[in-house]
Amino acid sequence: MLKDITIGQYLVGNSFLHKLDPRTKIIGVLLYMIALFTVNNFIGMGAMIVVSAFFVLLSQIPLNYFLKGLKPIVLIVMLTVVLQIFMTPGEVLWQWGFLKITDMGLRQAGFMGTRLVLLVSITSILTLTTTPIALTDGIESLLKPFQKIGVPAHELAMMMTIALRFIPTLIEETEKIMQAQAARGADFESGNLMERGKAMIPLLVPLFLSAFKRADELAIAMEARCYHGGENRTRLKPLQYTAKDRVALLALLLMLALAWATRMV
Amino acid sequence: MIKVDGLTHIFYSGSQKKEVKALNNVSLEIREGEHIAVLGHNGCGKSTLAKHLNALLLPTEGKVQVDDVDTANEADLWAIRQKVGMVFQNPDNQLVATTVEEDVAFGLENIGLESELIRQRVDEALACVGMTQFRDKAPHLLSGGQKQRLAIAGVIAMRPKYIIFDEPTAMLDPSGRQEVIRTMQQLNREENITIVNITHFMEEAVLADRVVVMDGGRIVLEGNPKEVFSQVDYLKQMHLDVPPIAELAGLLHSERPDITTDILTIEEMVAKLCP
Amino acid sequence: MSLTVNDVWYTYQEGTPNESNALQGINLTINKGEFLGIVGHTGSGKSTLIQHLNGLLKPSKGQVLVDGLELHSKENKKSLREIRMKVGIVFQYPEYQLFEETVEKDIAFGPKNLGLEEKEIKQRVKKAMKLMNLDYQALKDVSPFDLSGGQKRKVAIAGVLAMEPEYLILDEPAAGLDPKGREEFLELINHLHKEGLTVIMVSHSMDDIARYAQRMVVLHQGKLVLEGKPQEVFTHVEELESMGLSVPTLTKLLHALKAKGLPVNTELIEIQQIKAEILRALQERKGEAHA
Repeated sequence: MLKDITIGQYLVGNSFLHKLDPRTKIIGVLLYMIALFTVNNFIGMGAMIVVSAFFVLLSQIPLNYFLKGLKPIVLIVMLTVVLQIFMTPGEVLWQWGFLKITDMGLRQAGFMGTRLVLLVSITSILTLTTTPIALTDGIESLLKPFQKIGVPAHELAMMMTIALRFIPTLIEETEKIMQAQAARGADFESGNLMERGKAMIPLLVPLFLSAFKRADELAIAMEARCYHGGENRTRLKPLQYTAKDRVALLALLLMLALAWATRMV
Repeated sequence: MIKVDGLTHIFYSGSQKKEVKALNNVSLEIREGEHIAVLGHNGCGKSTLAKHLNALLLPTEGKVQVDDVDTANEADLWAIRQKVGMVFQNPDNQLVATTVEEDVAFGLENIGLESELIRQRVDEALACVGMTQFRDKAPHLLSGGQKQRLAIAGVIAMRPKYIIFDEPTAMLDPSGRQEVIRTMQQLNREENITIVNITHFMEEAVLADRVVVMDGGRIVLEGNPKEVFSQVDYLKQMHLDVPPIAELAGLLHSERPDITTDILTIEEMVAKLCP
Repeated sequence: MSLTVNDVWYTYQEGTPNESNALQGINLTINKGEFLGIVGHTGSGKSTLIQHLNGLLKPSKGQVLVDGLELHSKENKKSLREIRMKVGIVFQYPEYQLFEETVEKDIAFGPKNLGLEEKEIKQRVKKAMKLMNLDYQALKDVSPFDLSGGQKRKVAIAGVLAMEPEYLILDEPAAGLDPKGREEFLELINHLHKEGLTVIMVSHSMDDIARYAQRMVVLHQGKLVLEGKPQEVFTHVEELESMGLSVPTLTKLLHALKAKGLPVNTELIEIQQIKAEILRALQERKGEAHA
């Protein structure tokens, strides 16, 4: 059911990656992504696989969590692979009607498929080793320099926190309303797309109304607790950039440089 | 002391902007260390009154002063809200953060305390409401009573002198209600925090030092629980519940004048009937 | 004719580490025409039980029969919807399920899903509104969202009544209302029962159950632990309190008086009767003292 969805799932742990500052990890993932799309040959890709495996080991997270995380994207990966195989021009290896497989196609399909799998795995390391709070704090802190050009860093972070806080509540509420309407004979399961869409109205209207009511009440409660935006706000757990983070960042930059270097091979 | 003086509040409701006088010339003094219950049915103005006590609403007419500071004084807004904490009816819609301890810290972060001090106060507040073991839990996994205790922890971390409870138990089951009432009494007795409990549960009102009954935006009855609940007929006329023992005492009194109408609890009744 | 629960078991999240038995072998027969109270602590399984009564949940083991027809039977899958429409269910805070532009349309939602004709639907809406003390002419074109909380809840219940169920389940119908609203709602529900509807009411309030239910069951940790007339069940004061449930205040008083030697009948519920009984017992004791 709806409860099985886990957004930004965090796994309690004490690994090196758990202890890193969220900013290092966010930047790290960005650098990793660049590196992943920089490499363009087998040596480079092989190196990225080794690096990724190293990250997975470092996170001390059981492998099945990664496999679970990959499940939802299986379809996308397959679609990408199929498209790449058949659509990339190159030396034809096999042909049947308008379908043809080329050497470049196979190569591209392998690369894109590997990239997607690695990307999702490494991004999930970020959420698995970082609490949602640390993650939003990290984003807020990284966006701070852009505040001058109008990026609402604190507001974005607060919105993310509230969303994370209320998603489970709203999911629970959705289930309740679904049950109530089902008891009144509503049918959410059968019918064509149009009919199904229409059947959602009895669900969405009450859900939105309740979300608005919650927002209203929450705003008052926040005001009563002296909330007045991000100005002069302190944190229970301020972010701390330590020597560990500097080392990690240096290593990540090195990884990017090496990824670049493999293109020359 | 919180001093409410000639408070009138008018708001405009619905699409026709109909003028509604939610509060009509209300005066009330809330003394330090007191535990007050405010009773009345929905729409009697009790929640509107509550929101005036920490400047969430400002008077249309009249004045509200918290320790001699006028709530209309914008410069003192945050000081007032820190001093007068508030716990709301819906346990879900007042919790902001994704873990228990971060939620307790929310108010302290807003007033810009140092991290170490926040940590210390969060720990104290959680211990005070008996929620330390849940510190890393997500709020949505707590029971209704636990959520309200968490909300209370968030308020007491701010070291308030007064806490306004706006129907804190209306959405809870009996055991959740008990948890909240116990915590409320403990804060009043042990921490000497002034409590204003807005409610329509008589069992809660019986525990207060003073009961204020509201109807139609006015205070219509005021006194200690024994005085107020001996007025069984008047309370019923206002469609308020009467503690069953008080009602029974009233009935027995009409036939046996020696059974007085100020009996409120089972223990008192038993003592009277089986001396 | 009855609603029968036969050795029903229900397990949440079967096969996962979070597996929990919400119901453990419940047997219960609800006879047509009765007013049954269901009582239990949060997590006792009472919500799970009522969701079984109209087929929203499927038992892990055991069966639920509505007038002899099995819900979720393997043979006649099609009839689930039809059978379950005999059992109406009003969840907690039902006003949050309203969604239509007008009161009439919202109440008509259920009947429409039953595939009834326009004329029949209109008749049913009118009838349901009357049962809930709502003025059809004055309210039919009003948006339900412009109504007061109590009125909204009436509209929501009317929406279930318009499906003309034979059994009506109400989960905490008076939750969150002030004493005035409580009283009004419970009287309305009592009236429905007098009109011939079978009423099953889940409540935390022992006082409400004591006043209205003819029979009550107590659930605890997924099992049915007590069953009988309210006055019989309430004699188990200590057992109920150990389950986190309370008995009505006056029942507690009667028990306390009896323990102190005042010879009162502890099975009374109505306050006037209790007053008379206490006066009688005081008189009796006085007589004994004189003799």
